[in-house]
Amino acid sequence: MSSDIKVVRPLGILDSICGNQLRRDVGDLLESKQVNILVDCQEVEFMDSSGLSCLIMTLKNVRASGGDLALSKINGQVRLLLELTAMDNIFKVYDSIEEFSQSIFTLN
Amino acid sequence: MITLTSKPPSLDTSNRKLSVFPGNSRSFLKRRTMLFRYFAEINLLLGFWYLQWRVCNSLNYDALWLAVPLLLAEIYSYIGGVLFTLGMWRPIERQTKPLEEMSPALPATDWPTLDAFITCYNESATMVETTARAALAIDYPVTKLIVYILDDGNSQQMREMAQRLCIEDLQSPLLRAAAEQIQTERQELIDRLDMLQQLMPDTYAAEKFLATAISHNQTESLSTRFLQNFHQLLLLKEQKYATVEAQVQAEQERLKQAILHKQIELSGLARCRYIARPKPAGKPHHAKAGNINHAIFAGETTGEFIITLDADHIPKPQFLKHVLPYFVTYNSWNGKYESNRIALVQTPQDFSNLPPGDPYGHQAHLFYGPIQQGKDGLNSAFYTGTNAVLRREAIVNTGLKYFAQAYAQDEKSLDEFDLIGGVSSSSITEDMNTAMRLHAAGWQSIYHNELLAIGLAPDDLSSTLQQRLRWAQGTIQVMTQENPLTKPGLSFWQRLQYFQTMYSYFSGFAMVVFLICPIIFFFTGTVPVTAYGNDFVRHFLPAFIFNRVTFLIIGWGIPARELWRSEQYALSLFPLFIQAVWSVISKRSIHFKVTPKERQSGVYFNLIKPQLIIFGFTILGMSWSLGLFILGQLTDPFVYLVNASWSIYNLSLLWSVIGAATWKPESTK
Repeated sequence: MSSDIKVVRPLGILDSICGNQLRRDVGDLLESKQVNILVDCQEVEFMDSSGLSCLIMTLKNVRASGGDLALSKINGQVRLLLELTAMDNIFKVYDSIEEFSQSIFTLN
Repeated sequence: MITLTSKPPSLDTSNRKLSVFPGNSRSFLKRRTMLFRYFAEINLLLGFWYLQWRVCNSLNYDALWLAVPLLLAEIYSYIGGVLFTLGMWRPIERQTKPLEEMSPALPATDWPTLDAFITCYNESATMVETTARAALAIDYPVTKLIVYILDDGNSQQMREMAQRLCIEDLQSPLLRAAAEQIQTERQELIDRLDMLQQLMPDTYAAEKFLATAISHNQTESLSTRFLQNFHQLLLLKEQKYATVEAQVQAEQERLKQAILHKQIELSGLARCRYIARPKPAGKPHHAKAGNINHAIFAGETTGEFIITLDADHIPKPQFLKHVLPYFVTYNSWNGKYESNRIALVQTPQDFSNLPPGDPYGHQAHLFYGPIQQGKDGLNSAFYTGTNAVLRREAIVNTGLKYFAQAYAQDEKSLDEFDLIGGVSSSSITEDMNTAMRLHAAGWQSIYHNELLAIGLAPDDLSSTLQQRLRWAQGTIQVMTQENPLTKPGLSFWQRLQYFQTMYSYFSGFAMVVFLICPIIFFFTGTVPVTAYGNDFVRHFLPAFIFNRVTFLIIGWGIPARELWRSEQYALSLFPLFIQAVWSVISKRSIHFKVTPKERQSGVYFNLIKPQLIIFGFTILGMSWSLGLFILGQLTDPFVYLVNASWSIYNLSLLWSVIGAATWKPESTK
């Protein structure tokens, strides 16, 4: 079933260290099956470009296995970073898990 | 006041005694810049005067087919000279204090983390080992520097070498001490966590007890009141949490994170790591840019700064401590050092394996000296791929923007994000393009004129020519893809600097004209200039002499022999420059015969055929005309004299490649 959504919640500062951890964690989730990932950024205080690039790497892996990845509850700093790097075209941002699953449902 | 007393050549600012100055770095106009400007202005005026005379008074209308190309070549050269002069207008010298001497002091715990990327392709493992050892020996806290061998050749030998080196490094006293330190810190954290966990049940129980007591209004007893006070005090300290339980749990989480962090630090002590990216057949690999980007995005590298080293460039221990201070600025409002907008610091390249006389013209004190200092003065110091420190945030941030563009055009580019998302991969000179993108994104660069790494230069003509061809092709490629004159974000001076470099690679066409004109005269008597008499000398000689003098002032301190060598190569590589322009414009890749790595003892005449043909015809022409002169059939000996001197000048410039083609090391003679 393609609407299987897993939520990951990175904490604090999303930099290269934390981002690599996130990439590994999601990699473990992808091990066997197709999964959709929602990155809940509620607890993310700050994200730098390296953290963002780790998110793209994660997106790449998730897409490769047929799933999709979206963000939710991003703060102002993260939004600004996404806009400045024009990444807001690449990442979809949803308010809730329901909204994400709705969009996957309509896509399918 | 400028004095003309000659001083011993000093290209190395570290030689100069560091005088005391406030702050951590300072820059000032390079010495003798005023003298240079004075001569350069006169030179340009005289050049203009000569050119207008050429256009108005000396164009041979009877031989326009020759006169016009020569005039165009002369105008091209003049514009090149103007651009070069403008680019050199404000060369600066810099002085910095090393990291540990900075004032106010930057505590060692706040020093940034660093990744050293040693990029290799098919170099020998022994060569890379020397470089990796030197990189590990860089004077910097061992917990903050990791050396990565980025092996694009994926060789077993290299992998084994890296592992061996890693273990060896771990056994060094410095590393052992560091490991012990981290272990102790980790143990302290674990002990704290244990204690916290022991306290947890009773704390929870107490809080629960208090809650029931309050709800039943049983707070009269002394002990309950004390407990209540204590509880409130705890909550007052951390107002974020509603209960002590939440507080304790957050603390537990924090400790667990910190322990994990120490564990990562411990594993980070394996300081010599090997990365060989997968290179699936049929997919673009994006060469060196792809290699570096893979390490940045998929290689689990985390350093705040990246030092890029070619496989054979051996860094000196003081490299980082001398370069890193540029990347922070002291904020006197909050008393802290903060990141600034410096994206990269480039240091010079020099070579340890140059044969006497440098037959291939590798020495580049002119570029890694006045030229880079001139660029630095206009905030456009170039990145040249090795011996530089880059700010990861700048590379990734800028790379992401360009990736977003690529993604907007084709969503499939996501598949190769790890190869294209950082350093520019769209041209074969990834370094120049990357710097230009950084500049356009508002980042700054610095040229630090101190030799901090020494490398090996190609030691045969074939690989030398191949390297030059790649530079020329790549530069022109960047120009066609991202024209600096129209690229948004660049300042006027940055546009000028990049354009000047690209412009200079079109010189091949002008050079051909300069080489062929005298030959045509010798055999046909046709001249592109109507007046080769006194008038010509009067207009040409002053411009020529001032040009030479200005050049000498620019290259002050650089051996005249090296200046001459660089001039020789600027002319004699004309077929290569033409080839480069043609290949980019026709979008056809050049097939260049790759020769084995070991130097071949043969003579490389096949690589310089065009130069040999021109050389031969020039000599033939001179002798032919000389013969006519002896027979008394030469109509105008003065014109012959001018053309003969011109030819001799050409021949002496061309001689460099012929010498290089026949050059053999002493031992094999």
